[in-house]
Amino acid sequence: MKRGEEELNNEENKNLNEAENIAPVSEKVENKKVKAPKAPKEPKAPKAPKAPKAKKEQKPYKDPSKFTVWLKRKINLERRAALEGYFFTLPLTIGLLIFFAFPLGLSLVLSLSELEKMVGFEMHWVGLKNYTDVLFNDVSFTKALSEVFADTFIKIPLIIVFSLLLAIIISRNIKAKGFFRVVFFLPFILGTGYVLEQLYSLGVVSQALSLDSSSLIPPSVIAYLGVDFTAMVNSFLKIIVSVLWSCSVQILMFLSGLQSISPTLYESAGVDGATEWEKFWKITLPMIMPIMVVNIIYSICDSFVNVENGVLTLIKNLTYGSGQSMPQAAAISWIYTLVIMIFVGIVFLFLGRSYGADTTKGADERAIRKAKKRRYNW
Amino acid sequence: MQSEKLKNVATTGKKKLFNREPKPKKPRMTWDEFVVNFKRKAKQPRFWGSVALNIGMYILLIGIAFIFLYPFIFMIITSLKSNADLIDPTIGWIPRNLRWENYSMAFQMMNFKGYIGNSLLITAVCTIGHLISCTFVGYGLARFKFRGRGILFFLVILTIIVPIQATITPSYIMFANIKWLDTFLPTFVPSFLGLGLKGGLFVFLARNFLLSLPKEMEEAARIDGCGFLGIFFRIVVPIVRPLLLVILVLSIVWHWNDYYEPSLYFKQNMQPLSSGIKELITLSKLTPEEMEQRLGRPVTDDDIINTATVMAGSFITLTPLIVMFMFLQKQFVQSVERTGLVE
Repeated sequence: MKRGEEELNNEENKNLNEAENIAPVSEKVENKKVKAPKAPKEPKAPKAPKAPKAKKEQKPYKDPSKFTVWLKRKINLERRAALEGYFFTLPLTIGLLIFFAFPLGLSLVLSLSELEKMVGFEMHWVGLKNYTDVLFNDVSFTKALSEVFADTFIKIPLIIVFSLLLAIIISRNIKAKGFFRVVFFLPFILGTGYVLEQLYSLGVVSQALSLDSSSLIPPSVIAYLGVDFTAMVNSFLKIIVSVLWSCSVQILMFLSGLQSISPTLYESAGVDGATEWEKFWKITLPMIMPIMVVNIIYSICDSFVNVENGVLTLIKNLTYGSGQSMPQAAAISWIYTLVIMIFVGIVFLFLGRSYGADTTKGADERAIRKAKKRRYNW
Repeated sequence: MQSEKLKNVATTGKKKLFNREPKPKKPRMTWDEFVVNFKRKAKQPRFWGSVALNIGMYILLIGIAFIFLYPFIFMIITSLKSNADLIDPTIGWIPRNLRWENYSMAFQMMNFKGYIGNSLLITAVCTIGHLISCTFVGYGLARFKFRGRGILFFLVILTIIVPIQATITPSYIMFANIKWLDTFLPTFVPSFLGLGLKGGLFVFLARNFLLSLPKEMEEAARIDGCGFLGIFFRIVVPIVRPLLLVILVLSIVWHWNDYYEPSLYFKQNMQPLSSGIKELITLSKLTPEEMEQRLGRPVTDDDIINTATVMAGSFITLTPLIVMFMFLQKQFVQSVERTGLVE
């Protein structure tokens, strides 16, 4: 059905797209025509004049056979581009099929069945039992999931605000720019792997900013404030530190975005009498919005894929630890993936449409294509 | 002659990419000039406000830099503490005597000699794989229109979103079936296909970077009769140098610190350095009796593996990364700015 439609549309389209379709082809033909006589001329200049004559006799212009004519007609510029595109993305396609789609499919099958033997991977179909088990009979998953969600909701606005603020400060003309940039990138180097886990478990990371270990505030004041208050402040500070520790990539992204805003905008705003504050709201924020969207989505993915995340440790325990149940682990990971996808999809829907998550220069092209799609119902 | 000239142009072009020409230095202000200047500025309406803002800004920056540096400094200092210093609560920062033996101890116990080669091999091969495949695929996604491009790009995003734990069991079974376990192939092959550790991220990055570059040069090359592979290797690859640098640094850091996949797929003697740290951590949690069993002789004072040793091991593991980043810092940050990064 689709094919029929396409063909019809193609026919309709031929007239409309004539200019586009034919122009490149004719160009190409012209190119070849121009080239063909040139080719024998080139060797003439530097070398002996006899050689090209002989060549000319040997290679007269061939009449293009029917096959080449057919081929030329078939492979126009668009099709050639498509073929080249397929060639360039071939490794990814193969990789996705083997190392991504296949395991994902297998895990789907696994999540819908019960394992009998680990060795030969024998299983039988049980339908949605694992899913209902995980969702309704086992408390740990829903609890972990809600924790992860709460964590994400609290942290992401903070991450965005902090990283934007820091990026703006660094992008200004300040002293020791390079030093601060390296330092702000340090969490990234430390922040993956066992080292950070070790530091977290020792409580070193949050020690940097907490009331207990601070020497700025005398202990008598802390005693006066009371245990509850200090505990509250400490937990708040802990969140801030962990937010700061996951900011580094976002700072870099915002930095790149800020660099791409043209300074003339600020100059003209300054001439018109805008204050810094107004410049931020009227110029910086709207201009940086596309990168902000990418940043938000990155932060969401990052916090969902984070190692210390409750759901992922649950999956790990179910796969290898005590109370082993691989089908349940698979079911959890599928639910989790779907939840993330829905979440990211909602964010895209609200923010991505108005600002375009990845707009730079392809935007106008994309807009034209979209308009075409709408008009001709491709 | 001409080719030499061209070469010169090319090399200077490269240099200009990274090393800006030094600005002419201003002559230093004398004190009197400074005072005059200051008085003049102080009369301007928003002067004191901006001074306050600047001071606040620097305090914020230094505070946050302190938060980031604190664990790092803690790591270095703790790694030099002796056992008595660790327990003593009166010693906050500066240990009584520096104990360098922690480092030799860490070197031994984390099997540094055995693991460093593996770490280097895994990082080097996977990074090269990412450099080649991600630019290749990113170019394909950015420049050519073909059916299924949208789906392919969606799948790339999906690989970023889906946590690795979701697919690790089936892929383990798959690798077991094709007998790739206990070889390096499970990490090498995906990285050459644009996947692997955060490969989707790099493909995304490459695509976005190439989208922001002008097409004209490639079109010109095409008209001049350059084939599509020639265009890629002769024109695109030299242009995307900053992108390559970004991928290089990020990929090295991630692969160097990665322990999840290697711990699953590889044999004991094929593990990278990060699993050496894991061994150290488990050793540091042993009681003296267990330690005795392990060693097969009574424990002496020199055998104690504590937090200090673990920190020494961590520092040893991180040193190559830090040195690399120090060297590449300037280029890297500039590249990040040029890439319009990151994700």
